[in-house]
Amino acid sequence: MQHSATLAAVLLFWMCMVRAAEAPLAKGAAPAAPVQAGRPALKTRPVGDAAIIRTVADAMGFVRGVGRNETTNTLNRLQWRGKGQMTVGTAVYPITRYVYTVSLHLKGAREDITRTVQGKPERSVRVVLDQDAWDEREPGIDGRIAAGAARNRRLQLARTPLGFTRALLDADPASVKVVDPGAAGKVTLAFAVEGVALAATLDANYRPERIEMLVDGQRIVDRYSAYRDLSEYGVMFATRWTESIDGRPHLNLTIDDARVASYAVFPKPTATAAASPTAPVPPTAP
Amino acid sequence: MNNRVGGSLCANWLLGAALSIPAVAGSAETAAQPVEPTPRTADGHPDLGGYWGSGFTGLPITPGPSDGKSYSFTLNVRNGDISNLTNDGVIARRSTNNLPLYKPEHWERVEDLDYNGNLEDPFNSCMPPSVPRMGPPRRIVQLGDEMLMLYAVQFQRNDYRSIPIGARRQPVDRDGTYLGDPIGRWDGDTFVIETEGFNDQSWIGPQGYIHGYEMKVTERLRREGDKLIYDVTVEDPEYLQRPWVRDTVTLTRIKDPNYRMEEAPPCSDRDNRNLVGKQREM
Repeated sequence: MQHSATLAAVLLFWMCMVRAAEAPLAKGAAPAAPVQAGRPALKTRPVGDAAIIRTVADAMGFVRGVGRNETTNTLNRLQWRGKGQMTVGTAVYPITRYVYTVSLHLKGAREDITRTVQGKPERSVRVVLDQDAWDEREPGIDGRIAAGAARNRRLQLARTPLGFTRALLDADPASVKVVDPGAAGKVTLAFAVEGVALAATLDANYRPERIEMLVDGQRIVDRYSAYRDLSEYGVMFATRWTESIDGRPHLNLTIDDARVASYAVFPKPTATAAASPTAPVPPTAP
Repeated sequence: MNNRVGGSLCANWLLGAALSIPAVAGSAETAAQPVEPTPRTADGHPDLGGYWGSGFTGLPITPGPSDGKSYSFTLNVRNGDISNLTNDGVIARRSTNNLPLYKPEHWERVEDLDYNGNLEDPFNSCMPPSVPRMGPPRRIVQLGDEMLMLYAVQFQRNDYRSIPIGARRQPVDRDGTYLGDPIGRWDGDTFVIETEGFNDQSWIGPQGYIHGYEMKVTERLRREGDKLIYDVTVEDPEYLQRPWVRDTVTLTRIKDPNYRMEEAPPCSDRDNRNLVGKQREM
């Protein structure tokens, strides 16, 4: 036992030394654009529903481990940040800071938006944790129950590329309708999330480029592109994101920062917290 | 090309691996195997003395041909990329939902320290890992009025703690140290260590988990046959909303009579400034 452990340690030490000996970047040189670690480009098109679903999971960074230790369940806490604009009616508001924090295991999400309204910053923090939803003045501060909002916030999570992938993996495989090739030769997936029909179109790398849901009579369409391994852990984040509601533009965001497995907690506000009167910022989803 | 990894951080990966794996593997073993009788010392307490292993069974290596002079191995990693070994390990170790619940005013700082942890983590600058980040001891020497605990993780530091048993004879040193001021006592068959008097320079976890001078750490060790069960509770009213009860770690007694603790190499933080990425190894 000790011999094999020592052997493993020696080998790892050797590998570490090899990597440490690699030359650092020259002074002033910009690091190369990150690519997904260890994710070779697709050489062959997967055949069959199960193979396509697994390819989606792998393309997004969910597949971890190797052999009998392979799993798609270790990816949990995620966060992406960016900026852009929000359109409400005819008004367009610059979003100076957008932060979306997720716990896939807990079905939790915190959407933290700072937009400019009449020249002043206005912040909206909306949280969901499984069956509970609340709004906060700042993350973790002054939580106020948002009655009836939990379902739609969970659906919002399922329309994000990583939330979609989790929902796809959690769905009964027999309930997922895979069409290959679908329209324009692209793969399409359709399944239900909490009874709501979800339709997705995959890009050439088997990552979602369009996700559509009909929620409370409104057709919400999210489009994603320019995936990058922003976190450097091999998790792919869409750096371009637009959302429309009933065909009208709603969100237009550029994501430029992402974090994997960093600190994210969702403590519920105390039961005595007052209900939130009205959300100060129009929601990104109904 | 990977430009970010230095030898010291690889050592940190080993620390993380060694500390995290037993929580899973050990629990399963405890449930599956019958408990052997727990030996006791002359004073009637469970004998905690000896070497204790983490359950880390090594890397996923397949030995290849050998002529007795040279050896070959295949390291089984996803897609054949060595960085996946680190990435997948970090993500697996960090998938837990058992996080310390900090007061909201500290959330962003904890998050940013973790994000920039390759440079911010004091452990990467050769500072002591502190309690409870250093995990359970590798070796325990049980004396009547004192417990000696020796810590070693391959390619990491060697540290020791001396735990006096009984009533505290002098006030806690509130100027604070990395390892704090511990006092031990027996609670039935469980050895309890309460440590206060920490400085605020260390992290209680590699994820940017800061703490203050008021932190109190309570460790509970009990032996069941050849298993040592290690529980930790962290209290810090200045930083935490509620005590943080860490996941239980179960260790296995190392019976090999030739087993000895490894000497850690000198620590050097010279690689950190060359790191260009944010990716953590713990």
